[in-house]
Amino acid sequence: MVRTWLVAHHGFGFTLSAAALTAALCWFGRALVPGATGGPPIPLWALSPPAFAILASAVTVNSMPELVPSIGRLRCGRLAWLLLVLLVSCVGAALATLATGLGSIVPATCLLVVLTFGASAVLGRSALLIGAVPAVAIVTLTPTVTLLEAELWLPQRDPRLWLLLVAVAAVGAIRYVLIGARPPRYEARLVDE
Amino acid sequence: MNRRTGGIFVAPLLVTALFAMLSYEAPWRGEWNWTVDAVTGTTVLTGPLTGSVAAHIAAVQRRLDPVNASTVRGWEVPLWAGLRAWLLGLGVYVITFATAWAVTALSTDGGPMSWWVLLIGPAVLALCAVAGASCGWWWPHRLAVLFTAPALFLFGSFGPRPLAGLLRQGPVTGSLAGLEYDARVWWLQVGALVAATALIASTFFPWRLRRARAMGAVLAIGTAVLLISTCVALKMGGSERFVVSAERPTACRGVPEACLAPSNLRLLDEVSRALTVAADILRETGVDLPERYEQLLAGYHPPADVGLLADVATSSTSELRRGALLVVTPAACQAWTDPSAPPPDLAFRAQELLTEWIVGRGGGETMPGDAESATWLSQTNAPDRIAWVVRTVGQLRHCQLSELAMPWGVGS
Repeated sequence: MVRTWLVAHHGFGFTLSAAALTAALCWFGRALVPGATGGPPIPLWALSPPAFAILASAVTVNSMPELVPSIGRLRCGRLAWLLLVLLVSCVGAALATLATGLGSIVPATCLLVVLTFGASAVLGRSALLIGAVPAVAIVTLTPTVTLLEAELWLPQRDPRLWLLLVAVAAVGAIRYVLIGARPPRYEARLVDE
Repeated sequence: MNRRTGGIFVAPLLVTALFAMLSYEAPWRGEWNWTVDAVTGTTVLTGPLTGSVAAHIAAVQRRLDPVNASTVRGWEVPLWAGLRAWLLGLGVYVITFATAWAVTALSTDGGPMSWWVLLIGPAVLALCAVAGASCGWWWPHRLAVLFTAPALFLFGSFGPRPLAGLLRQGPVTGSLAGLEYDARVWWLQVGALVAATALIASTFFPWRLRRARAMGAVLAIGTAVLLISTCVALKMGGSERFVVSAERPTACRGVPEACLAPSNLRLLDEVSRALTVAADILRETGVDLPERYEQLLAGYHPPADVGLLADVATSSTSELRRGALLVVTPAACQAWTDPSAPPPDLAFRAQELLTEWIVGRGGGETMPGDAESATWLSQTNAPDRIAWVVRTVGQLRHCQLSELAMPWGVGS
């Protein structure tokens, strides 16, 4: 059952990818990436939380059609899966933080990963946008050298916004656990039939 | 695949391209070549995203491999996936160009327009599309789609030059006045892009068939040779996209005349007004200013008998301060731009003090750099102030930079 769940959610691929991403961030987290709009360069570290969120978006949707209504065990499975992905992402973020010596990205990574799961209940695979939009915004708007002072991803930067996002993430996570990620259209038709 | 394949990605691609273009670090200058560079610069983001779209389409089509593989032309499926993604990216590129053209044309515009440079954008998109299709085809997994865009973007950032430079076609933030695109570099880069695209595409050939094997080998070897030779040529001869042009500061206005390059036509009104305001303040003291100030351009140093306009970019300071900064170089002395024999520090300090004096005289808020300057500027009725101003402007006008002195004696 566990193996089936992991296969259906690409667990092996996710773990390998998360490990590769963590290794890349540990070694190259301080490497500066030229901005896409001619602005000042940004450290790869700044792109870590969106990167983990994009990775998480690939594993929110169950590849096997869920032909039965959500039952207790299915909901427990989703909760366990969410927590497992969150744990792997946060461990990766923590290691990257230690290795780079820059500001902690663990709270932001947790928030974005949970937001991604919540968004998948509505958007399905398009929950990718939760990670992609901040990544594109950072690369395009290239905030200045304060990024190297590690302020970008800290909750203290804007506590009210963080509270709001945490509340939205909590609601989204509950929705994901209760009803699961929105399936792709062809699978939705299969369930309807 | 049908007509709607990949259509869902058009909106995100377009939003990303327009968002990137309208978020540039520098303000829109009204220079046509800058606009062209802004458009080609959007491929820094849309190229990798097009690659991901191609990876997605190819990965989805791979599911039909049992059907495709049994057909004669089934090997073309990943190429069609790449082509579909390229067409989507090309459509976004055209819309981006139309938007940029409109933004530039709706306000004062000027300067040459090297429209042919725009043709490199589709070449970048083609390389990204075929690379993405290759990723999605050989690794038909959702993660391949997610990894393609960041991989292409990071290759453009950290990859070996000049290969990685092919994916970085702008944008520049500074002015392109006095510069033009180097056609040699452009042709070499287009050649490298086409060769790389064809080389990757050749991996899809049905190598098991004898005839296709021969054709594929010829294509692969030919394109590899072309790619290597263009990269070597770029490495040896330089891959800087711009060279000095024949553009000169011929657009003039005001008294004294402020002459800028036609590319900077949008700034001419502001610069000439600011210069006139500051010049009028100086002339009240009886100083003799040149009749003409010319813009310093790459490859063009104005003659020493005209004033020098070194930095005409849009400024957030007041018109008075901007004019003061522009007017205090009444002669284009060689020393101002000669890194081997720069002016003494005292020359710069004297210019700063003169600037603050003009601002104060014009009723603006002064920002003295040290206590001595602050004291001197506050002594509004001191009789020797005008004498110092007249003497200093004269010395600047005749390039006697080593004879400049501060009004309170020898500067530290």
